[in-house]
This record gives sequence, C-alpha cells and structure tokens, in this order.
Amino acid sequence: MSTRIATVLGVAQLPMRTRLPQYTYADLLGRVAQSALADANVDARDVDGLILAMAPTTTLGVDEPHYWALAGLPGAARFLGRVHTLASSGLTAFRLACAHVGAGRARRVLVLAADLADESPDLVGAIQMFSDPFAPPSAPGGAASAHALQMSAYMAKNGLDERDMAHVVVKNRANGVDNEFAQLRQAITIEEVLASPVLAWPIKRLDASPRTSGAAAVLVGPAGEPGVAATGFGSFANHAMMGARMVPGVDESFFDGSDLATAARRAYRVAGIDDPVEQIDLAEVYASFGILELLAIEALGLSAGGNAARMMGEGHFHRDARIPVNASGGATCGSPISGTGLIRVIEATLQLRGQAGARQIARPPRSAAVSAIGGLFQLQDVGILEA
Amino acid sequence: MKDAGAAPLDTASPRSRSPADDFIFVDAHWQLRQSYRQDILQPQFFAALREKRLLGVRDPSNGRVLFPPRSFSEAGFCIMSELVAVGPGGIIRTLTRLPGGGPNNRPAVLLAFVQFDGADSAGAGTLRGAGTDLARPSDLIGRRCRAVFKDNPAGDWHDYWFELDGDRS
Amino acid sequence: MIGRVFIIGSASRIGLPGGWSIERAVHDVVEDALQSAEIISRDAIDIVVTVGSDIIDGSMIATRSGIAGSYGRELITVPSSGGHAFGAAVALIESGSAQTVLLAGWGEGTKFGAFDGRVIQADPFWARPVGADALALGALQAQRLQAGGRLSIIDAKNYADAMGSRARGPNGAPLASTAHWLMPNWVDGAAAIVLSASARGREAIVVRDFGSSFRPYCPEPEDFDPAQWVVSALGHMRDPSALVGLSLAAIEASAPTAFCETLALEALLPQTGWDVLDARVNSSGGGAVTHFGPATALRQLSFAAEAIRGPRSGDVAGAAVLDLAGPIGQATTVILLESGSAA
Repeated sequence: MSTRIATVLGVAQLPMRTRLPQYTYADLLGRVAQSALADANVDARDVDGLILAMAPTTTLGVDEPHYWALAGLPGAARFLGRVHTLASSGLTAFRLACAHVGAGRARRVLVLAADLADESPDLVGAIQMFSDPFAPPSAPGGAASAHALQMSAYMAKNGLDERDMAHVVVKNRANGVDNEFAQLRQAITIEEVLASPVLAWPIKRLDASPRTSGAAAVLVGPAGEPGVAATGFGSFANHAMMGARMVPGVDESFFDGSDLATAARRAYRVAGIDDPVEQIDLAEVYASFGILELLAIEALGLSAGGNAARMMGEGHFHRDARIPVNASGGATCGSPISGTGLIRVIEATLQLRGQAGARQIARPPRSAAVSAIGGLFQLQDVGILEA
Repeated sequence: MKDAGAAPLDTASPRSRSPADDFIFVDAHWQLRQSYRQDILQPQFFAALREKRLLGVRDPSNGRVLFPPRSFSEAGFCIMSELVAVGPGGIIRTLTRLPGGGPNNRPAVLLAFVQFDGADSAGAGTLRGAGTDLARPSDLIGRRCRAVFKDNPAGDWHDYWFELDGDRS
Repeated sequence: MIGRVFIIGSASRIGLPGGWSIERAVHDVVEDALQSAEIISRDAIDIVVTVGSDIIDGSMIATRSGIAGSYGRELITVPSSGGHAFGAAVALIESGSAQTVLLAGWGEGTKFGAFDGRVIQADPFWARPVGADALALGALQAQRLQAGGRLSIIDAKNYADAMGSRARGPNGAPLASTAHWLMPNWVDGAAAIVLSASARGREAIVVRDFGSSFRPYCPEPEDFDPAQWVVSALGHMRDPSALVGLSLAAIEASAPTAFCETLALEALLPQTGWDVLDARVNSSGGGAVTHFGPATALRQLSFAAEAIRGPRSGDVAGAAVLDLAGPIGQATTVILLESGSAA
C-alpha cells in the first residue's frame, strides 16, 4: 500500500522545436507557468513556492538565470532554489517540490524548466565544459561516443545487432506522430535508422534525440488533493570515472544499468511496489539514445537482463502492449535538457489522467514509473506516480 | 585551461540572423577561463609514461587498482596514493568507431576502453591496426590487446595506443 | 509527515593548505562533519545535498559530487544558494524522504580573483549591454542605500576591516587586515552539515525554522534594502513568529558584500541590542570576507551551530543565520537554530 507524498495539480509543456526564436528563456518560463496554473485552475497569487530545474547554464549562456528570468513569475518571491542534476534536473526538481509540500512548508509549488538549444553555436563545447579536465583526450567527452560504448558492449554481451537495437527509436518515432508536443513527428523505418549517418558506431543519427528547445511546468500540491499522486522516489549517484564501471565481476553498472536498478528499487520500496511487471502500467523513461531505454526497461524490472531488445522487437513496450514505454515518443522525439525529466512526469500524468489524446494508451493505467539520467550515465533518478 | 569561448567579453551588438527571419538576435560572449589544479598523482603518471610504464593507483578501501590514477576515490571516499604498475597487456571491454571527416578531415578512429592486466578499471585510448572499416567493431570486445608506446614518449596522453595481441611481431 | 530536524554535525574550512586540492578540502570537511556527528559509516547518510557555483566549478558541481561522499547515495544539487540547499535538506527530512542528510558545499573562489565570472549572470538584452555585472549592481545598491540614508560607507569600511581581522585563515592567522566593503573577498572554502531526524541523544541543535525570499532583477522600484529581504524571509517561515521569544546567542550572516551584510544584520540586531561588531555577531568573520560562492553561508551555519552547542544552564540558546546570495544578496534565507532544553 503506497503513501501519497504529493499531488500533481497542473502540468504544461510547450511544443518542442529545434529553434524557438520568438521566445527568450524568460518568455518560455512565463508561458509554461501560466499554462500549468490554468491546467490546475490555480491563481498565481496562491503559488507559495517556485523551483527552477536548470542543467548547466553554459548551454544557455546566462549563469544563475533565475536572477533574470523569474521576474514576475508566480511564486518568484518564494523561490526555493535551482536544481541542477544535468539531464535529470527536471525529475529531481519535481522530487524536491514534493518534499517541500510533503513537509508542510508550501501548498502550491511550481516547478519550471526550459531550454533554448539553438542559442549557442558552441553547444557541444558548452556541454564539454563539465567533462573531466584530466581525462585523456581519447576519452569520450560527448554523449554520443559515451553511449556508443554502452551500446557496443550491450550488443556484444547479448548477441544483438544494429537492426535489433533500432526497434526502440522506430517505436518511439511512431509514438511521436500522435504527440502534438513532439519535435519529431514523422515515423521512420529500421532501414532509415540503419542508413543514417554514424555519429559514433553503433549510434546513428536517428538513434539520437535531436537538439531541442522547449519548456515544461508542473504545479505540485499536498497529498490528498484530487489528482495524480507521487508515491515514491529513488536515486543513485555513481562516480564520474566511467572506466571504473566497466569491469566484469566488480562493477559493470555502465554496461548493465545496475545503478539505475538500485534507484528503481529505492523508489519501489517507498511506493510499495514489489512486482513491477504487475504493478507498473506504463513507463516514461529518459532515453536520449535507444540504448538508454533498453537499460531503463531492464533496470525498472520490466524485463529480464538483456531481454529488452528482443522483447521490443516482438512488440512489447509499444503503445498497445501490456506496459507501454515512452508512449509519448520519449526523448527520441524531443528533449530539452533541463526539462526532459519533467516532461516524463507530465506525460505520465497525462496518461494516468486519461488526457493524453491521440497517444493515450488503451488500458487505463493506475501507476507509472518515470526515470531520468544525468551526466554520462552518472546520476540516476526514478519516480513513481499513481492515478 | 579550458575556454567556453575564445572571444573576450564585449558589449552585445544586434544583428539579423538571416533575411528570412523576422527576429533580431543579440550576440554576446562569455570567456570563462578555468584553471584546474593538477591531480597530485598525475606528474608521476606522466613521468612513468616517459619510461614506457603504466601506473594505476590502489584504492585502500577495497583494494581495487584504478587506471588512470587519481588521488581521490569517490567509491571509497578516501585518498589514494599507492601507485601500482599495470599492463601493458589488457582486455578490450568496449569500443566505438568515431567516423572521420569534419572541417579538419580527421581520420576515423577506434576508441577503446581497455582493462589493463593488474587493473580493476578500464582506461580509454585509441586502437590502431585493427582497421577502421570493421562492420562490427564490437566483435573486438573481449580481445586481448596491449599498450604500444611511441619511440620517444613525451610524458603525455599521446605516448601510447592500443594494438591487438598478435598484430605486432 | 512533519518532524523536527537536528543539526548533529558540522565542519568548515577556508583556504587550501599548500599542495591541497579542493577535492581534499571537501573530503576532509565532510569527514570532520561526520565525525562530529559521531557517524561511523557513510551508509548512515540517506541523501546528499550539494551546493556550489557552476561557473567556479567549471559546470561540474553535480558530476563531481563524489568528492562530498555522494557515491552510492541519493543526490540533489541545489546550486543557487546555501540557504536553498539547506531548505532542501530540511524538507527532505521533514517530509519523511530521509532520516539523515549530508549537506555539503564548496568553491574555489580565488579563481575569481582577477576575473569575476558573475558578469555572465546578467541577461544579454538589457543588463549586459550596459555593463551590468555583479560589482556594478553592488555599487548601484550601495548608492541607492546611501542616498536613502541607510548606508554609511565609513561604517561599512570599518565593519569590513573588522571582519577581515576576525576571520581566520587555514593557519589560524587573521585572514586580512583590511577588506573591501564593496566587493567579496574571494577565498577557497568548503563546509559540511549533517542533519538528522533524530538528535541521537547528543547535544544536537534543532532547526527551529527557516524561510526564503527572492527578488529577481526587475524594473519595479525598490530600495534594494537587505534588511527588508530578511524581514520578508522571516515572514516566509512555517511559523512567521518563530523569531519571537528566541533568545539569540549568536548571529551569522553571509552576503556578497560587507555593506550588504551590515544592513541585513540590522533586521535582527535591535532584538538583541548588540552592536554590529559585537563578538557574538559573525564570529566566523562573516561571509563577505570569506566568500567562496553560493555555498558560503554553510560555513556561517557551521559557526552558528557550534556557537550554541554544548550544555547550558537555564534558557534555550538561539542562533540566526542570514544567507544573502546573489550579486546584491537578493536570494535571502534566514535560518533559526536553538539548543539547550528544546533540542
């Protein structure tokens, strides 16, 4: 029996695009905040807490942007802090909002996130700023090469080929067609994935999420109010040295996602979930590359180790399956870094409410697992939501 | 020293991005220089490279030997100082092929993580001689290889690369 | 689920002794804090909350959290201010998410000696084009307050010098004989606080309450008065009257500038009758002259807890910590602690 920690009162997201030249970062936050309050039917004056999810500010080009961008926003005078756990920031910020509400210190906490991916032509350099300066130059400084190493090892261990691995993004892109907020809304085929340019073998361009601009907001209230409830959270902070997580018999978490599995177990324990296959009805997992979705499915206990790719190819985890994963299309179809974890919460909430429109899964879900990953598979976050 | 951008900070100037856009964009730069204090074990590591030797460090909390060495263990939350010889042989734990091309027309390269003999972690480096046109580079995972040094190592990361065992007579 | 939260351990350090890295400083401060909390294993820590500056730390504040002992633990990074990070830690315990939280912050502030990277906190549309950086904003704030009769530059200078002499460097000597009243004195620093839902039978400090207020840069006219921001933060506590009846034995304040710090203190000093240079105010030297970024106030928190720790006869002893983060101190958090029979 789960204990409800807090309630999702309102959600909002802006349609994701590569470029959103008509908005500044402050504009994005203002618009999505307004929409979330409208969804919750809550007056701006009643917001008594504000949390900003913002991954490294180098990508925005304005450090500590809250000094500028929160002006006039609901709850700005009650700003509770900026959360930064890289691409996991949105989910971590949501967790913190639930804590403030659960502690009885606030009743209406607004969580905001936004990203403008196109404002910096030096985006790759900006992201590389947080790589280890003492690592050898050959060490992967970017996500594509780092996750290619993961994918390569996963394929070798489980006897999979590139075709097997392509099912994930094909599923997600098909799901994205029905998501009016998705950046990429064209279905693709396996052949197209395999023919797309190689970023870092075996990762192809169509394996990877695009550069995305977007914004998301969630309004959190106390447990017991009508709405989708947060019932559990768990996380795991790994160490930065990825090579230390590649050793059979010692620590293979970079290859097998066992650290994400620990985060999931922690969340499940709080939420009273002991049989995820039976008790989880859908999952929204952060996966900027297909390999991350497979590792997340296994870490969440939705398939046995190494089986996720085969099950994916057989139609499991599709929108009409027993446990749909990323019915929204996931990060494959758009992923603003700071907001991507929050969008997982939003998409799961919409499904649990029955408000996901054309992408609504057929079987009414009762519970959902959401996950997010920060850094190069270093910070793992899991949350559980219930209708 | 890493720079997020090379240009010095200056006042922003408005400009149009392209004739097709109706929006004015304001350019701004920041120069965010960083000066990182070198890990205290790194000089010894590089000195060993000059001598064609590879050094890892032992984590006193669990006995693991980590390569490359650094003075702090996150897992053990302790200071590390005992340098241990590792390699030159090892096992490829994973690898990827980075495609060539780009503005500098760089060559394709195989990036491998190799767990050296005697080490309990894998370190990155380039794998040479295996061919960069392999259909499935992952077929090399689990193969043994060794670090090969240049004739006159300078004491930096470019002093060695990996070659598959049996590839060099 | 709302329970009390206790500070059961704390430690801080400024300056890096010869050959030290910030990693070692953070590690040692965390170890010291755990030791002071009589915690033998880091397994007793449920969640680690970290705070530090993205631009000082090269954007690595979350990924290098391992230097604070986060490996294997749950992690939340709140880089905006020590006060915000403290609030996160307390909320996590009060809501039942954790029994014990390690709160750690650090900053190699000396990196900002020649180049104050906070210039990139200004928006690129209105502020940066006119040269608005942290120093300019601080000067604007000082000018406004001086014009309003709130600020005496001579008093601010005297205060800054006094704090410079009071703060101790790594070798125990006074940090500086003089300190600037309008600029932070950048140092390298680290601090760690251990919070728990249980006092564990020791002389723990109870968190009586905390509250935060925030003023983004906006065109609304206001006085930029830190004292008003402190009052606003007090009003945002769970119990807005929490300060009433609390017998303060120590006050610690951290602001980006010495003059901002003196003005913030004015919100509390009338209650005590103390002068701003009283020994019970900023025994740490205050945050302006020992500044290492948004985590600075954790050092003040450590000093405040130590100031009231220990057996006392008679009344409860209270301490107040003022965290004013941001170029003009506009991200304000007030923390009230108490010890003695209430803990």
